[in-house]
This record gives sequence, structure tokens and C-alpha cells, in this order.
Amino acid sequence: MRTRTHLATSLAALTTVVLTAGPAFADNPIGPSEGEDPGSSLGLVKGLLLLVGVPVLSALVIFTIVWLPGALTANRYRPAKGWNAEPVWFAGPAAPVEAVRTAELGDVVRGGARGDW
Amino acid sequence: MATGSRPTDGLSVAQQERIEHAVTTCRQEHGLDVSVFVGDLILDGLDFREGAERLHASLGERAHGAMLLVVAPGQRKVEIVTGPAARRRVPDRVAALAILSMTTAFSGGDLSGGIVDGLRQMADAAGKRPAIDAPAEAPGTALAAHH
Repeated sequence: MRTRTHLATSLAALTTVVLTAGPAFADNPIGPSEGEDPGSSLGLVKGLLLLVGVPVLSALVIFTIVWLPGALTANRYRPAKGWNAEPVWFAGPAAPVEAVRTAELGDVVRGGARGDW
Repeated sequence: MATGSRPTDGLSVAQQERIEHAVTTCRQEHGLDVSVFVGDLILDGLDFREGAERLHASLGERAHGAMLLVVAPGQRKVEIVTGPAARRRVPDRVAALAILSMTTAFSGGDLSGGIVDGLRQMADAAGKRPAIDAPAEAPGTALAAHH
């Protein structure tokens, strides 16, 4: 019983020593400690790509997502903004300017409807 | 009219193609002589209806059986003018209903959609007839300001 307690105490002490001294040893029995081995360098190009390229690319993607819908509808007709385009006549007379100038209204009752917005 | 920002630059090519297609459908599947004018009218003292009737009269021999849809985006007015024969197929009541759905679309900024839907409504009401020939000039010709 006594030897057992003694053994446990020495084991705990040994563990404490090993744990605290761990980083100093090259062949650490519980594996390498974090940061002990920095690994191979990324290199300048890869580093720039990772730390500058990725954020810039993400910013561009977000900008495009925000900007694109507005740009696509920028030329949309907005009633309050007026209209400055040349008239377009679908299936109109062959020489519209001349036809309108010489148009004879005549004694004809025309139908139809009107509206505004 | 303009509220500081740049006014809109007219119909896009795709929108013009949609309108042309709707006009062609009216002619070929419904035998209805339809013409669509999109632009503000230079009225010179006439009221809008008179200006629209003048455009309708300028269709010449076609006018009797033709329906003209005038959409003035800057003046925010739309007018349907039917010749006596066209009026029998598209009564004023039908035209008024089409106007109602068009103005709803126009006030929401959808010019070509409103025109296409309005034409479809009237063509459906007019029923099917044999196709009529295309007018002398290809549809969608840009028109210089007509003083």
C-alpha cells in the first residue's frame, strides 16, 4: 500500500517534469509542440496571393453582386424621369414624316380609348 | 418633367423585338392591322387625341381597318385609335380594358411588357382571322422628329 502511493507520487512528479520541460526536448515523447516546427515558407508570391489576392477578389465579387442588378436596370423607363428618345413607329407608314404632314383626317368616326399614368 | 436625373434612352433592341413580334402576331394570327407608335407627340396646339388621330390618318389606305396604339412615355399618355372596320373587331370597351392593364405596367416602368400584353388582350378579343400582308415598310423603323 505504501509503495503504491509512493509510485503514484513519483509518476505525477515525472509527468509534471516532462510536460513543463517538453518544448525544450527535440524528441518530445508527447509529440511536437505547436509552432515548434514553422514548416516550409509559403514564398512571396503565394503569400501575396493568399493575404492580398483573396481579400481583393472577395471584395470584387461582392461589389459585382451589389452593382450588377442596378446597372442592368439603369436604362429602365421611369415615368418621373421623362423620355428623350426618338419616336419609334412599328408597322407605320413607309414615309412617316411625309405621311403625318399630309395626313387627311377626313370625315371618319374613329374609335379607341385613352389613359394616362 | 425630368427630376434632375438623366431621362431614359428609349427602348432597348430586345424590347423593340418583343413589340415587333407582338405586332407580327396580331397581323399573322389575328388578321388585325396593328401599328404601334412609341414616342412623345409634337402637338402644336392639338390635344393628344387629335395628334393620335392624325398619326392614325397618316396610315393612309390602311387606316380604315387599322388600329394604332400611341404610347407617349414622356407625356405619360396612351391612346388607342381604331378605324371604323378595326373598331368592329376591337370595340372601345375592349380597348379601354387593354389601356387599363397597359397603364398599370407603364407606371411600373415596363413599357414593352405593357404594350405586348395590351396588344395580346385586344388580339384575343378580336379573334382569329386569316393573315394580312406586312406593311410596305419593315416594322420598327426609327422615325425622325415630325414637325
